[in-house]
Amino acid sequence: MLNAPSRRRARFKQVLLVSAAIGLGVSTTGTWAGDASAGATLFQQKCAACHTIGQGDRVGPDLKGVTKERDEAWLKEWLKDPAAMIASGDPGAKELSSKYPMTMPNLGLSDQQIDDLIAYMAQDGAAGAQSSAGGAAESAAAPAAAASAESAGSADQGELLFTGEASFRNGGPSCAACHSVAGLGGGSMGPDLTSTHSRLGDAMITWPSAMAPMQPIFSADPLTDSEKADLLAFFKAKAANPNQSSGGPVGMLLGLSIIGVAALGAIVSFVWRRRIIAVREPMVSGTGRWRR
Amino acid sequence: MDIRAQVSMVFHLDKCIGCHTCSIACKNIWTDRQGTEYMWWNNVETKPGTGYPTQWEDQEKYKGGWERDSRGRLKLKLQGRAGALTNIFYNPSLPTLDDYYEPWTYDYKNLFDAPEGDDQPTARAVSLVTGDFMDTLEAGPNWDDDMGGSEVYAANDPNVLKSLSESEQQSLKTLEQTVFFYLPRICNHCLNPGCVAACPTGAIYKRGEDGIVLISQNRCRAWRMCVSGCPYKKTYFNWSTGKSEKCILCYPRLESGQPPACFHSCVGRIRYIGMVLYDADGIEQAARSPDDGLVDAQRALIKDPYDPEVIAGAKRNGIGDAVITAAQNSPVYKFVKRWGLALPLHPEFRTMPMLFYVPPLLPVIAAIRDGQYETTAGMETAPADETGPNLNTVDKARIPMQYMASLFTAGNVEKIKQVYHKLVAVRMYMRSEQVGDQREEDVQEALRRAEFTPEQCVSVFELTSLPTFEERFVVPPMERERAMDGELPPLDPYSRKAAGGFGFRDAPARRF
Repeated sequence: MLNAPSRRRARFKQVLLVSAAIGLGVSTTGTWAGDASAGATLFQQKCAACHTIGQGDRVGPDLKGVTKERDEAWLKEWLKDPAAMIASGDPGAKELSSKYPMTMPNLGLSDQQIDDLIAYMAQDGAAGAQSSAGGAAESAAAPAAAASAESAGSADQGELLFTGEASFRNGGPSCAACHSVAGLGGGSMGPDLTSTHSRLGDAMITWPSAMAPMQPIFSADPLTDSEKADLLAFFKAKAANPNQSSGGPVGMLLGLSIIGVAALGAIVSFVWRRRIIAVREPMVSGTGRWRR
Repeated sequence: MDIRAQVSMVFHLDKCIGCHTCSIACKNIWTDRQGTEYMWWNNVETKPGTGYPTQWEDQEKYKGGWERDSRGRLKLKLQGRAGALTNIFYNPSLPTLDDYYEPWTYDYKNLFDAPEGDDQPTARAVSLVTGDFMDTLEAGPNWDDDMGGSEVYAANDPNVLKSLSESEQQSLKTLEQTVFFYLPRICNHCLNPGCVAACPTGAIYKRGEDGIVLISQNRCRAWRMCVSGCPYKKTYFNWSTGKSEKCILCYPRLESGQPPACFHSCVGRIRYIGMVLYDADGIEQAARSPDDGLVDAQRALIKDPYDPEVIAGAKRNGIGDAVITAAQNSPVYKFVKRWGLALPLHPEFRTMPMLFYVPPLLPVIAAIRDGQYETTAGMETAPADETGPNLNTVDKARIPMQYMASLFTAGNVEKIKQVYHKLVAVRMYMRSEQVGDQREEDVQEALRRAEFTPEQCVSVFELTSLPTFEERFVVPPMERERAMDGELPPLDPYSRKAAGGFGFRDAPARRF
């Protein structure tokens, strides 16, 4: 006999299973439940700072063929919470932690995101290669203009590159994988870059290829000149006006809140217009309808 | 007939000197805790005046008490059930702290610790709510004390505004006509309490054995509807504990055989306390009476404790012999019922207050004779060709009868005049007996108007001017309801004395 809450939980599980089955049926990859192209974007944003597919070990191991080496359940558990898995004494996890001194951080991935990533890795980065090839084609078309504008980069394009919405031509990881700026968020492994441009100026763009933590990542996948110009334009604009970009959603939310509070205040003061505000004060001061 | 017992009270306003000893006695015992600084379960007001909280009698603002709807049924002026639901998180009729006053103390320490300087150190006022210094004190619990002719306070007395014409209002402000008297107030422990009806939690109850209205500190959930529901503004919200509190009629003292502290400490000995037996079946009908008939309807609820039928009814309800005997000796029964001298305050609020007032026969009429202002002139026999001045006291009263009627008889001037005729008759009869300067026919005329016999005048005089402690305070021995129900022999009252105090305690099993 099930009590009411656990019956409800059981029904909820059934619904989940059914929808998962429908998702599987619809999925084109067949083998893996995830969406490999969504996984490609995620990989760029979250993983590429430390991992490659087929280009050798960096901070973390090369992930080429990882889906053949490890079974899916292990991968899922690892991606969910690496530290917990090491702590649980799993032999594979222990081996990794002794080989690579830097423990992989908990990336806070949802189950769907994990599925997407595994689907992407199962293709050995094929979707990513395609998408970055597509991105390269696009940026090859647009940037003739950028080049002629003498490194006057586009801050908007820089923002897309920063967040990883646009891929770097040579496949480097997006900045947001490790860094954040005000209003856009990002990773916390590296410093916040909101006002860096005001301190370092254009020299900041040399860091990816020169400074210790970033150099091994970007020496293999260097930024192009037009990408550097775009990023600098973006960082410059950010440093000059840290809240500009964030002005969009936050500003609108602020505006809506103020209007909402004002409307609520108006409704309250209308509904309770006969409330007692003060008796003694108007009586003594002789204002209002009280006579002296 | 559903006979119940009620601890009931009479305040004789002619004897009140406005010394506030009662207020201080109460404050020292019950409301010297954090969060209660602004509360005065007992306060003394000057009338005409705006009182505490300011203009508490104006129910158009505070929405206290009951009113009759178009079909003559009673409903709370504050709100019905739907209103209680929609206003549950925000009661729009609450007095603000400023309408009471912001309580304060003084920085006395500075008087001792101030460094040597050119000026005398002062003790600045410090708010007891915020702890900040207060540069100006704008209100206090008796801010209009003795301000009988005040352009602000007396002129804004809701009774003055409601009952007096423009010219009468003006004349109250002229120096020769200025008049005031004191009105001490505590919780009325009503038969039909507005606070009980307004409480969404059911935390307020009327004790079955003696009718004392109490707020359960366990069950109070701080909705504060009682603060608005009580037309006398005698429930208060403790901002520190988040519970409402009110006068408890010093029941721990009553249970240990003592009168309440404000009664005990009264310098003018104006206060009387005693049991009365009343018929609970008649409360609703009485509370629905038209304004003119409210005083009589309430008097009719109080039953004769010598009537065998009433005694039998009381015993059926488990009221013990000690309580019945106390009701037979009750000074309240004499003032309210036998002599008809004491009246409820604002019966038009329809809560059936069980605290009654003997209205003040003030001032003694003076006259200017041979260029001398003589206060005894009114006591002397008038020239033979006119009616004696004492007989005209009622019609020539400095405080218009309409004003007193607005306070005590819901506007029924004839009813208040009846009481004044009785007070005048007692005064004239006793004067004629003891000083002998009253004309015989005037005294007879006064007795006729009052419908009093000389013997009645003597009894009134004796209970007014010469009562002993035991005659003023007739409280039966109580061991909560069990002893009163006759289940237990009366205990030594002092055995409970140590247990008395404010706070959490269980409500008795029997409650109405």
